[in-house]
Amino acid sequence: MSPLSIFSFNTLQIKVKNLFSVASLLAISALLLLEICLRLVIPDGQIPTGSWYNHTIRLQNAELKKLPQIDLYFIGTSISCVNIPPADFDAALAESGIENTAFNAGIAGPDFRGVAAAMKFHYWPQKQSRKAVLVIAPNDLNSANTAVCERTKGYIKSFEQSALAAATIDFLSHFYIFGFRAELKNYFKKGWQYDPVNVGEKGFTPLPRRQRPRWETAYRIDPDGPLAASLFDLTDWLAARDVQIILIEGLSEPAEKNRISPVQWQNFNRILTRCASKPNVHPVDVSTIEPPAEDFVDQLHIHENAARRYARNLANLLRAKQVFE
Amino acid sequence: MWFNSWEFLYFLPAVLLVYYILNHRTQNLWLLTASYFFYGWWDWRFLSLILASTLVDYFVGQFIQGANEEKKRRAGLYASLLMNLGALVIFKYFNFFIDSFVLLGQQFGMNFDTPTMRLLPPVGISFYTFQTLSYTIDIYRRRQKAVDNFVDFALYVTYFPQLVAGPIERAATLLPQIQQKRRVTPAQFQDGVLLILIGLFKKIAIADAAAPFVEAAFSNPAGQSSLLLLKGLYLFSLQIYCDFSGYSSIARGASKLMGIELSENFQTPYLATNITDFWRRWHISLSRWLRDYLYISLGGNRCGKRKTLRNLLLTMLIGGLWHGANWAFVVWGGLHGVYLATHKKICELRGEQKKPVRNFIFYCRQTIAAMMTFHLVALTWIFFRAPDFDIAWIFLNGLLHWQGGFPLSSLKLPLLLVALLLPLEWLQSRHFDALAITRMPVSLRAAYYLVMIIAIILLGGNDVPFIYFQF
Repeated sequence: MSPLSIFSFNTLQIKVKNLFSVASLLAISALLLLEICLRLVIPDGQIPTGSWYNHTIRLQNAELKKLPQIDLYFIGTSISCVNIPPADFDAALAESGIENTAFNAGIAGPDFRGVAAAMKFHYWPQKQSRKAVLVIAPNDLNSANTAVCERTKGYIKSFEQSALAAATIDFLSHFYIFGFRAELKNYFKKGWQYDPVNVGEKGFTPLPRRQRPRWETAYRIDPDGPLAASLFDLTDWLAARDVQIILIEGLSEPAEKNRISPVQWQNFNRILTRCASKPNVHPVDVSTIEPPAEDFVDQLHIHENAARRYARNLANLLRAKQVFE
Repeated sequence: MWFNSWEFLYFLPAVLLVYYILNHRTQNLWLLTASYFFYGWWDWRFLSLILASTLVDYFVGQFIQGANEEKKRRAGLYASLLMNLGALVIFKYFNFFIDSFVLLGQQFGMNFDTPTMRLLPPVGISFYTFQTLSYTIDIYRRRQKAVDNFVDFALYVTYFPQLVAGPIERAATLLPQIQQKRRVTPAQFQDGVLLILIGLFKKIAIADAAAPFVEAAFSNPAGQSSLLLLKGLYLFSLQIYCDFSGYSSIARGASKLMGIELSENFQTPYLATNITDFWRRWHISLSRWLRDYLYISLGGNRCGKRKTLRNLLLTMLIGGLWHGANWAFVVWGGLHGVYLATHKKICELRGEQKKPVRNFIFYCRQTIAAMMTFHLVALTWIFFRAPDFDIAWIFLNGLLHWQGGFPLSSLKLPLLLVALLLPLEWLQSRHFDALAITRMPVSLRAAYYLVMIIAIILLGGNDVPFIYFQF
């Protein structure tokens, strides 16, 4: 070796065989055995989530990967992903000779800040579209729902993870002991519980025709608050990427709409008006195609068949408004 | 970059891989580069301050050693104190002093228009400032020779495993290891990996799992039952211990993998049988620093009984302030000062004791003493953890004015966490060794390793930053 060499190779006085103690080898073997047992015990078709971000997104991601390209994203909360099946939307357009591949990037759980973060950090880096339908309901901008606000913080944190961290978590999720850790942790309290989120084609989350529990939340919609700011920010962000944005009001059950005070409606409309004034944004009035009260399974969501009808109506309405020309 | 971050999972092996193939001189340069990268990960602008501190202390150290006259030596020391403490005051305490001054003025009906600086305190500034100060003070006291090689000295200041949250190492222990060629033996490697595992277990499986319950108790203590508050307090005691000792354990483990030994920072502190004993076991590197550079400098116990008590109190008050620019930390330090002074007084009154016979009564007394010490310490954690004084008082009131109501099921988690930790603590207290677990039979040891790994996987995910990073 040259005296000027920077290499030495004699710091680590270890051979591979004594890198690990007998106890650590035993522990690793037991861990592998546990992994094999879990693979045998956990039923097929249950997808490990790693419990690090929204289960719906993980399944939506699998759907997204099936599509070669996206022409249009539906962006919103569960009000988007439950109420608008993109396959029916595309089929209605195809009947009029318009080729379109839509994907519903709506996510259940967080408020609009989480939606914006998911689009920026999760969906957009994978596939970009030329059009986006922003689906905004009063509930999405309601800052009085503190539980949702708290949950959103966790979502945003997980979306803002570095690519390296996200890739590591993704890799580790292939191991059942890591991938099913939320379910395993709960197992000791409630037994095995797997939340079968039914994400369908192109990101649509169908709900059966069965009434769901309802909740009562006060409304506080602040045109200058962080939720509205995240909507404006996402709009600017998409516009900067030359995306044509179609702004529609998301569905709410008629009784739910009546619960919202005139002041809060005024605030909501101020936000929509301000959003509509931004470049590349085209507001579309969808009040004419709103489904009847009996289609709703809770305050904000309609059942699968109603959603399919609504998506076709929406496609026809947008076509009539010459959005696709 | 946090030790419990995914990035660190790649950073450490990458550093080690290159480290193992380099020769000694280049290893130091590589470790220095890695340390700057590690520190700059938070904010690269912080690097300028640590570099300035390194440069000043490097040259001041040489100046003090080279100076013959006491006057010049003292001037050198003052320059180092001014630079290091000045940076600390500006970045950490400026607004605190200004705000306190304004508040005091308002008490007397005077309104001041004062400047404020909203500076973000560099991560770990209190730790590396104390470490570099010990170097120049030791040279001044002729206990340490100044380092010639700048890379070696810069590595002493910025060595990444202990840079941001200690242990605060003395030049006399760390510098020789940096200057010498290093060898990593199989035992060192295995111990290093085990220390990292223990650290991650304490941090992720215990401290982070306790965090949401602590937050719930301390964010809104009003109206909560006394037992729920007590549970929150116990869990915080557990959280802060596992959080900080977990960090120290990872630091020691990572360093062992490079053949550099760092000092033990915790020695089962909650098993201490009196408050003096507690401070011999808790954040050992800080308490020794405070003893050697502050308490002794103030006169220690050489100037009479009254001044000894004053010095104790003053040292603990400053120790409290070291944790952060907040009066709550001062109260925390003050309480510990009062405890220590009281214990000293009691010891004096009791006079010299015979060596006790280790029988059943002895162990009962030890257990009661440990429980009392723990509760005295836990009481001070209220001020440490509460977001402000008002909340701390509400919390204390809630504990003192008993209110019932406590679902027994809420005890599951605390009991589980204690059960997980107990074998480690018990073995460490018996053998005075953080790695005493290796003395267990192989099968038991393997089972405990498995439990630790599974606990990290299942209880993890809360992603809470290390508490001591803010200091």
